[in-house]
Amino acid sequence: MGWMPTLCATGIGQLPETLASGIVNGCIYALAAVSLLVVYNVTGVINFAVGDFLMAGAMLTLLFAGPNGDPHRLPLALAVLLAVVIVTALGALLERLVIHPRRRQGTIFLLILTIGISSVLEGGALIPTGSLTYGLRPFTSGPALSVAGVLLPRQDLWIVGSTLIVMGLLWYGATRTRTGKALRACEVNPIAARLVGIRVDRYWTIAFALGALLAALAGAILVPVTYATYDMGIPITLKAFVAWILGGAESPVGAVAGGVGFGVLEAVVLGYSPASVANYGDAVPLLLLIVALVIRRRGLTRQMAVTRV
Amino acid sequence: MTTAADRPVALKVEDLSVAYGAVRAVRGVSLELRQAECLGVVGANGAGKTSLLAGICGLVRPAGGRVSLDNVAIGGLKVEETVRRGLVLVPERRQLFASMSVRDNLLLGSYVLGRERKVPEQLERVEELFPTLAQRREQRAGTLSGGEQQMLAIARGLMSSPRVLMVDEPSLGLAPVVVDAVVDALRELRRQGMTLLIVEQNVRLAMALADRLLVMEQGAVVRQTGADAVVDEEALVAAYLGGPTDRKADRQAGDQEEVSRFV
Repeated sequence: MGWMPTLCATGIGQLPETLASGIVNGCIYALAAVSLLVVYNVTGVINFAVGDFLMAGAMLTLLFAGPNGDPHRLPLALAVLLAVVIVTALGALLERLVIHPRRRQGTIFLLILTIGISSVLEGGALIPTGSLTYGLRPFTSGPALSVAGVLLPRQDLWIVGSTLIVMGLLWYGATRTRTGKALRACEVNPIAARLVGIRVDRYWTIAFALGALLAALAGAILVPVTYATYDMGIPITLKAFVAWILGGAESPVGAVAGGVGFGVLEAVVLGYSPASVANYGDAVPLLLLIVALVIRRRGLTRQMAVTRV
Repeated sequence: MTTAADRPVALKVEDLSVAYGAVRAVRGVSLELRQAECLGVVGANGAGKTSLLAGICGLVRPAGGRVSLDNVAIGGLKVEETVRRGLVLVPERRQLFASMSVRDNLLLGSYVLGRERKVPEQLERVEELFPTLAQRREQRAGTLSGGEQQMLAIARGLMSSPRVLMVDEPSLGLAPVVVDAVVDALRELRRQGMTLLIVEQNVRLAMALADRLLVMEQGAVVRQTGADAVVDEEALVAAYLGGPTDRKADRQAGDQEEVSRFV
């Protein structure tokens, strides 16, 4: 099913590479986990479509950048930008059209709506792409770079670098800009937010748009190291969900730590298991999810009343 | 005390009703608040004071009646919109952004001003009124003392330079010394010409602050004091709080007041 980290069973001598690869995958999970977090903190909605927004970002980047040697393709930077902008707009649009009219219906109802969105996005991708898989060249070509004796493919550095930059921008936006502060105000105290004149409803749309943006960007930077398929979304949603819960489900720092931690754990488990076990790799996040939810006594339901006014 | 009768009406409420399902919390309340006037609303626990404010500002959609601010109808607008028109509620139990800094709380108070130049100027004015807050700019709002939190709530309300400020139970849960500081701040505001509507369970405190009082009981105004009414303070206290009060008893009663309806 879908995208799996590109790993082969390795010897102990490959540990640095295994860890590095885990960190790289972890960056993708971290972006998707922060996407979940932003949407959940502002709206209380668990966005099951996060992986499909990621898939859409990957597919559109491929569509615009095209395979190597296609003379009609757009420059890569423009392709990524366009893909991210379109998916961001899609996130805002879906919130307005699908979530918004039902926003008072409660957590489970809205979760199921996002599962619906997930299916629609998958179907929407299946029609033009078929069940084929697509890949893209790395953003910059050239041999892997050696950092402190560890060989790192160039795209890995793109992934880690982009993640760091995006997290930095997010931090700046949340703490230094008016819109970012208002978004946090909606998380911290929706009633107080309304009392100072913040149109909380609009920030639902902004939160979905931002969530879609983060996922789309993750998809765009991921597509050179994996193959994009129409059904790559759900496994990523699942892993993002695990990362989010592992990180405490509250702070962006936690979500990033959860993402990278999960990425490394997954890489080590898959890297050092016999192939017969590694074939069941998708069970790893599910097992971790069970463990995380059992440990997390407080559960996931925050005070729903707060979101209801 | 000067009468405000010749000043224009800032806030007019006519026949306002607020209902939660079948429960009618406010039954046909009318009131007028003139510019630079301070009106107090008193009444026992559950008399509908908080609901009245919620209905006026649009935190709760009124079941009936009209509200106008500076002669413009605002009834039926949501609170996000009435704030933009200049009607600001400082809610009961403060409702601060607890995990954010004092400074960010204040800046969010000026959210409706957008990026206007006025914001730093307003911040300066408010910090002058509440010097404690200026000293605690970077501190998280949730870590302030109760009195400081109340001051921050009032200060945040002032940040958008409202036409009318409504303050719900400013003394709730505060120690007497701290109440005095909050009252001083409200008095200073009044002196500066702010139009105030103050809901208080503590009748003495309301009397000390307000030009006029409305007394609410079971969702309706049952008595008014003011220009044309003789005020018998002790009788009022006795009638509506069941005997001479001390602040401790008021506070204990106040602690049970329910804003949790909106939460």
